[in-house]
Amino acid sequence: MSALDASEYADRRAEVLSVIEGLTSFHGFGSVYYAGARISQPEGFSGNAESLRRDLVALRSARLFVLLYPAKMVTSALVEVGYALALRLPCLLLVHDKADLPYLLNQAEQSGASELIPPLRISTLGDPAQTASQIAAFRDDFGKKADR
Amino acid sequence: MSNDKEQGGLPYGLDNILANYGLGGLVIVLGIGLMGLSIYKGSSFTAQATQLGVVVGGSLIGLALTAVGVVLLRRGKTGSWRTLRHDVFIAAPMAGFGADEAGRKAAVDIVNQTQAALQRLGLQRVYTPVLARPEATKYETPSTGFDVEWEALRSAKRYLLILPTIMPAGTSVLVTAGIAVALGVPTVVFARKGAPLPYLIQGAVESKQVKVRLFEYLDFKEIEQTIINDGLRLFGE
Repeated sequence: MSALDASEYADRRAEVLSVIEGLTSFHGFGSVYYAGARISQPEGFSGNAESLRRDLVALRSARLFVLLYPAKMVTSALVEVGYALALRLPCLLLVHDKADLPYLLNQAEQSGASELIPPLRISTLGDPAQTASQIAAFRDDFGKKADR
Repeated sequence: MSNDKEQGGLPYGLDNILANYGLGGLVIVLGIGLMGLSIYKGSSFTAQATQLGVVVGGSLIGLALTAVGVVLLRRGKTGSWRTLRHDVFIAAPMAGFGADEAGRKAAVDIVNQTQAALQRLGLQRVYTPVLARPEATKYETPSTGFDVEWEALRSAKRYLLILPTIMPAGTSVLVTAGIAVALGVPTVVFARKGAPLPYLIQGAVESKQVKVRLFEYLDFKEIEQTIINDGLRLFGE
């Protein structure tokens, strides 16, 4: 999202925070990590080692990974997807158009889960309430299994 | 978005060890700590049998933890074994070198020349998606099985990323870079001088937790010269 202008960034960030609110208030999520939660301006994505450390620690301690990808863009969230795949975290990718995703991720969905490849689902991105419900359903399908 | 356990989670030091060395590193530290603690505290008990029990018991448990940690560490940060079949995986976002045929050809040329320079260093087994799916109509559409690329990444000893001046939107190379970093594959990024890097790539370059090194270039000659000058030290070897 750091590639967006300040106004777009603020709108998108508000949507994501609204999704998180829905997850914690209505779907029983205990804690949700979102890199942008602490960054109110796109310039805040300054690219330092501490940001990376925080992201990696959060990814390592996560049960599932969700990408909100409203349009084709240059974003470090795609680096996080790769990291999540390598850690074998179940991945939910929410998009308006599947063609916006890197080809590799469309291919990953078609490959299916295996011992080394985690479950990956691509769904349509809706409003914040719908998005929270989709994430909760994904958690119920895959995230809880990861706890066992 | 993911469940964040930072709040009230592990203390910062252990947290750092976990991020740097994975679960294996953390278990080793705990094992060694337990051995030290049992030896240090054992002598404070008055009964000799208790002293012996604490020292021997604590040391054995600590030793077992250390052994488990070593096994986990060998499995890598992602907890699975990797068979290394490729000397290097080269990635480049083809669309970033130009949307037309000339741009695509420029990307293929720069990857070909980089591959040749690396092969002169003895890195013969090179995998690159750019050459695996070189047709213009396929370069950013599904054409190569994810399994093939995933397997190539998992079996790569090194990862080399060549970035153009303007990063194309929705490129797969950011995903493969994330996979490489997570797998702990020594990574080199060649970026055009002055071009901004995605912030997590920049963070990876600045971080000591991951093996990512950045070199800037203006044209291919500089990439080639860097490879010739640095040899395998390019990857920190």
